This record gives sequence, C-alpha cells and structure tokens, in this order.
Amino acid sequence: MPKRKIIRQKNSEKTYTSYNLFVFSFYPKGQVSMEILSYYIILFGVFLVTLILVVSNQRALEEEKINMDARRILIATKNEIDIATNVGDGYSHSFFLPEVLQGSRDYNISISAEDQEIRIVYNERNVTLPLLTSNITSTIKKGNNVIKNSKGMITFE
Amino acid sequence: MSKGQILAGDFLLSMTIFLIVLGISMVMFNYVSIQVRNDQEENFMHIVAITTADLLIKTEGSPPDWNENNVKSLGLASNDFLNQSKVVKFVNMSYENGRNAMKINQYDVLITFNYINGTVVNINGSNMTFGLDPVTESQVVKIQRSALISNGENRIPVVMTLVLWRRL
Repeated sequence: MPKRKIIRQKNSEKTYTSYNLFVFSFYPKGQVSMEILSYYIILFGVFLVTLILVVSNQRALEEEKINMDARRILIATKNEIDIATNVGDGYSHSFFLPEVLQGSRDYNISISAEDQEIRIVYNERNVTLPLLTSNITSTIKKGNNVIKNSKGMITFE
Repeated sequence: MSKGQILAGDFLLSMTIFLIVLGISMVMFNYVSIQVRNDQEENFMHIVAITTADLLIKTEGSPPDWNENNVKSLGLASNDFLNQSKVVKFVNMSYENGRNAMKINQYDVLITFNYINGTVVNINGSNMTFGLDPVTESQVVKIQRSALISNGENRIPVVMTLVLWRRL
C-alpha cells in the first residue's frame, strides 16, 4: 500500500507523458474531462474541415473528368463529320458513341444542320462546335453509327 | 506545467504541423488542378480556333448571301477565295452577332486580316479587324491562315490571324 501511494503522487505532480492523456484517474475528474473534450472537439473540427476539402476536391476532379469526356466525344464526332465532308462521295465509316459519360452521367449529342453546328449537353452545360457543312440529314445516336457521304449529303445509319 | 495544461504544448505543436502539411497539400492540389484544367481548356481552344478559321476560310456561310440579320453560320469564301464584300460585312457586324454566328459564345475573339508585310488590310478606309483585344489576365490561342481576298477584279494575298481568348 505505501508503495502505491508514492507512484500516484509522482504521476500526479511531476510526470507528463502521452499515456497520461488516457489515464484520467490521476487528475481531478471534472477538469480532465473538460480538457479532453475540448481536444476532441478541436480534432473533430480539423477532421471535418479536412473531409470537406478532400470531398470538394474529389468532386472538382470528377467534374473535370466528365467535362473532358464530353469534349472528347464532341471533337471525335465533329472530326468524323469533317472527314466525311472533305473526302467526298462514297465515304463510309463506322464509329461508336458511348451510352453515358464517365461516372455514368447522361448526355445528349445533337446536330443542327440549319445552324451548322454540333452540340453536346451534359450536367446542364452545353458545348457547341461549328461544322463545315450543313448538308446533314439524319440524326446521330448513341452506340454504333455509320457515317456516309452520298453525293455531298452526310447521313448516319 | 499546471494541472490545467495537460500536454497542451505537444497537442498544439502536432496540430500546427498537421494543419501546415494539410494547407500545403491543398495549395499544391489546387495548383495542379488549375494547371491541368488550363491545359485541357487550351487544347480545346486550339480545336475551336482551327475549326473557326476553317469555317471562315473554307465555307460560304449559311445562307450563302448572308447578312447580319439572317446569318446562321459565318463563312467568307466564294469560289475558293475570300469574298471582299463578305469580309467587309463581317468586320462591320456587331461583336455578339459575329460571335454567335461563329458558335464561339464561350470565348472572346480577335480576327485581323493583314497584308503579307504585316499591315492591317484597309478597305474603303476601314481596317479589316473584328473583335476584342485580349485582356492582360487571359488565356490566349492564336492561329494564322493565308488566303486571297477577291473583289472580282483583284486578288489580295492576306494573312488572317485569329486570336481566341478567355478571361482567367
């Protein structure tokens, strides 16, 4: 018993190690619990801020990936039409448009012969590129497309 | 150290180091993200610039005898040359109408027609320039195309410079 008393006295007045953080019984209980609580609140706050920053950065990255994917599809389709226009009568080539963008986001691609433009709409955003021809009849669809040039008229099948 | 300061020094030191590392990481991440985004945007702007230049140089426009009120797609060509009257109509268009007709609403543009010696083409007292000069803080893509402006009698060799830009 006397030996135990000495250890307790030593710990409570002189020795401070990380172990003491979790050994509450050596300190007045009310004071220690308030201090530990305040540390935990600060740590939790820092954790929350870190989490918010990481999640927002992750979302920004995802948005950028979707943006890049949509533009890649738009440019690839525009190139197909331009090549068909420039090569001339008899040209035929098949190409594939994915059903969804990265992250399973839906999109809509359309060609306006009247306005001579190709447009992709995704995430309430739309991007357009001009086309070199307005002689386009049929509409483009997701999946497999066969683009043809029949006497200057561009068609999709 | 009193009883009211359980390891406060250690705690604050570790927390400070952690926050500094976190801050630096976030700054670095944002910097890299912005760089990647700008590179992607610049690549896309190159494609838009090339497409727009092709549109102007190679097509007649829609309708072929377009004017500012009925234009659907801009084109300055007629019979393999740039039509002088279309070039004049184009540079006299309002900025917004011209930009809409070229389908480049998301960017700003400056298009200049220069003689081979570098001076700006002047027709009937007007400089053949359309658009806005880039502001200081902007991302700029520039391409040039050679062409001949024809007025039916003469053919003038020109260099069309297209500057596509966006504010940063």
